[in-house]
Amino acid sequence: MRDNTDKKQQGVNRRDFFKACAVVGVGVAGGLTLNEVLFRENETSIFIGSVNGYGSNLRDYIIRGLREISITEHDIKGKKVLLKPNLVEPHRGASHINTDPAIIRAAAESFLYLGASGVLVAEGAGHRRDALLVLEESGLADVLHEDRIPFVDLNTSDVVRTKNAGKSSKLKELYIPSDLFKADILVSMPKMKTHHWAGVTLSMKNLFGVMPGIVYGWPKNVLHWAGLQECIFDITATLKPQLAIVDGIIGMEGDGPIMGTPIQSNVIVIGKNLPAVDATCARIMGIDPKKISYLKHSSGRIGAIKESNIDQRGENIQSVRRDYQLLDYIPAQKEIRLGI
Amino acid sequence: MEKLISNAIDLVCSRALAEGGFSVKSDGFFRPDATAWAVLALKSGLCCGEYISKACLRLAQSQLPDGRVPLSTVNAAAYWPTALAVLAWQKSAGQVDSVQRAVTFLINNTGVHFPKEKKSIAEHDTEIKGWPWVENTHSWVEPTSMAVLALRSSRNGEHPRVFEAVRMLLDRQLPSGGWNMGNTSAFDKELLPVPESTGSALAALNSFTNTEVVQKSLEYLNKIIQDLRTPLALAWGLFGLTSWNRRPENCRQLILETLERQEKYGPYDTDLLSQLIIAYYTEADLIRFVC
Repeated sequence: MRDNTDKKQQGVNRRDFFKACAVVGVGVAGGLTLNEVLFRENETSIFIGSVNGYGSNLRDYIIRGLREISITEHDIKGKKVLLKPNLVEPHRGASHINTDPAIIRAAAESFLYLGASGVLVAEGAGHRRDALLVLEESGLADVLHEDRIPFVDLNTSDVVRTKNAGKSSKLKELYIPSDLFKADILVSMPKMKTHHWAGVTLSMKNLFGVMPGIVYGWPKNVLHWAGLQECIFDITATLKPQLAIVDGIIGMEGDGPIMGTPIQSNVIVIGKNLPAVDATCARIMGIDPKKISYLKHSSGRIGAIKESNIDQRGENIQSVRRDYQLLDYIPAQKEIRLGI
Repeated sequence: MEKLISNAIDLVCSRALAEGGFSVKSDGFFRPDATAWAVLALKSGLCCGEYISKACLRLAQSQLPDGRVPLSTVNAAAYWPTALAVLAWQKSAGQVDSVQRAVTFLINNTGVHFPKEKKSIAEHDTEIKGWPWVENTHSWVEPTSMAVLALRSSRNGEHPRVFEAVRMLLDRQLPSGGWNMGNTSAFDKELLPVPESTGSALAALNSFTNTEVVQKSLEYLNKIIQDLRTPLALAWGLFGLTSWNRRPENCRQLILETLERQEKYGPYDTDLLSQLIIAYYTEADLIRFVC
């Protein structure tokens, strides 16, 4: 286990940038176009793509989406990209729990097409210790094997201690898998789901899966005790992912993130600012982002959630909105419905 | 010796560190969990004795004054490797004091427990004490199972903490059979079992309860074991079934096929390789193997 809290480092790529952020808890100027725009509070572009299902040409949708939010070959060329899907607790025959392998494959192909030097997939499943069984049951193992995409189990990797840049929870420090340093660009790839503790689980909550089980447990109970909503904010503020690509083709409504029911939304949502991505997804789900505690807390701090601050590209929200079922006996889902 | 097994042992040995102990992967850092599992695996294969004593000593050096063996000295809160260290130190004459201090630590520490609220969304009894993965969090199935195994292996199987932990494990058993991390239901929906948690609970419980009490869990594991080809789930599935005299006849074949899958997944972590090696050689329950 390494300790980054006392070292001073500077740099121009994501790896060094990440280390620098970890040390001082603030952004670093220069070198990273994507990071420069990440935490601005002003307008940010979010792309909504309407697709027909997992059989669609998802790669073309993703490339179009990336271009719509001004990500070009220049931003990707020569960079190593880490895709972080949501594989919290796969079970055979329940594909609506996890980010679909088809969209992970499409994202990998997209970044390679745009000149990425490499793509890897990494996850630290929240409820399961057998990462390889997680890959098998989610259907991702064969995709990764066929496409020769490496996988990293973030639950068991060596870790580095960093300062908590968000400072909202009780945690002064966060322990981050050292494998994250191997990537220049971190892409959160969640499933569009309701959640029985957080209201919704999208690109920010998906980052719980980055936190190593060897330090936080199975489930990642340390984060629950430290404040679930606050930790969602803290992890995003500390990791500063550059991108989110949300699998909203088949989402989950009701008692998510595991026991809910599938719902066909047929959308992909892409953006650089995670709170803005999640706010857009919430609206697509018929949920008011201002009533989701961690999104409200993110507004003006690490991103934009007001509709007026989000430059919507592709489809408009109303044309793809499909109200996800909310359960009145789940406190986190009470009174969060977005008005018509 | 079967070539896949000897390759697995060679790979584990290749991760031995010069200062003693083992890393999780090649060229990695010392990790107490990898070290404890490697020691157990090498003992089971009756080989590489030169690494074992050095590794046991390295584990002892990583023990804190209060007896815990944390994931690292930088993060002492993650004390779940303590139980593993107790298992690894069994039969090692040089670590008698370390075992005693680790046992004392386990007996004196528990997860966070609290009275169950009337409107609790969880079904399980939140007051019954077990052990957590990490200090100041709730108790969960796998660390509790490991602590029970550690205390049993050190002749503390009659301690009240063990009996309470057994009660906790039985309380967390899913009504339809099996265990998961330790939540039986949420919002009145029964949650789903997973093989690794089920295997660890069954391995811990084998001398404490009747077959009828865990019958559905045994059936669950027995049903899925033939489909498992990933190391953690398979090894723990086999530990659980073996503890209840239900070791599959083709057990070794399942292990070899799982080792073969490294062609697809890449080299397994030291913990995983070690668990497969132990499952291959051990026809008795884990306690008899350790002691």
